[in-house]
Amino acid sequence: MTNPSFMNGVPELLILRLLAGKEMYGYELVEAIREKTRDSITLGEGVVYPTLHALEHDGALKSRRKLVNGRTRVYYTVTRKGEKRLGSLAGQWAHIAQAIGLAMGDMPHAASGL
Amino acid sequence: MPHPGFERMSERLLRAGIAPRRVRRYVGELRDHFDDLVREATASGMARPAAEAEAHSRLGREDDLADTLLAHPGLRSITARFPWAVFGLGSGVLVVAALAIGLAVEIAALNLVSAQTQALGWKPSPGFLSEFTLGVEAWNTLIVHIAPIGAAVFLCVIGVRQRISTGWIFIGVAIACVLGGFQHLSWYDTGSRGVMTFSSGCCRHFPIL
Repeated sequence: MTNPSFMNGVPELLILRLLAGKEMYGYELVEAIREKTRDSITLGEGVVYPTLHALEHDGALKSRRKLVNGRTRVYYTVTRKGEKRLGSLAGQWAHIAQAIGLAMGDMPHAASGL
Repeated sequence: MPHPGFERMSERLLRAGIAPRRVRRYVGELRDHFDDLVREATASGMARPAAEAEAHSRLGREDDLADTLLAHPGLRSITARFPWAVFGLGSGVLVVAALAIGLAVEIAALNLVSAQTQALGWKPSPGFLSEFTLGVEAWNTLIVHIAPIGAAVFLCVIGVRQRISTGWIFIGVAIACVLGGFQHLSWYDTGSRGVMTFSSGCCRHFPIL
């Protein structure tokens, strides 16, 4: 999946979730999303960086420059505000997923994937 | 395939009101990402031209990269969102602040000099007083005439860097220069004490010290 309409809000949720566990830079984050979702979700670079900037602007993330192997990287990490936002988004996501699961439950192909 | 420069995207983002610092960082991150993609592909055995083509494809079109950033209106700079505040009110505030700070420094310095000379019982010679007056007048010229020009230059630089319309830049510069031109500050020595006068276009001279 790349960008179907129901993916709205997913990049923000995934980014906050992954950065809550570890400080990362953009490329590392894109790879981590691919790895954690077992290649099911591929966030384009055009989505990741603007979302990182927007989250930082909102105070949910903070960034710092770090020299790694002779190259300066911009590392992002979740702030306290970001943790709260992650909690709220995760709750909303769980609620929606449960509701969709209930609605789709009686469909014969629901469990095997659409 | 060349290393992406993102010049067109940068210009588009600046014209859309994204702050130069953010644009620089966004471009820097995308360039680094491109390098990482190329490195990853070449490490897996791909030839460099093919790896660069693959990296270009992964990053996508510059217009799309610009569109996704512009989809977040909160990332627009304050100058782009409120040009009336920066170039309208801001220019006036800058001039008044420059004058206020300059005056405060001057009054504090003159009070200090006055207190020290009285404490030491020192009677300055007429030649020294003349040179001192010249120094104070030079400072007055600096804060009344140079500070507004400095404010105007500052507004010009901000406006040009952030691709603000010429109209707003002109308004900011005009307000700074006209407001600056209305102010007059002078200091003279009566022989027994120094007198500082400040006047603006809408009020008469009045003594401060």
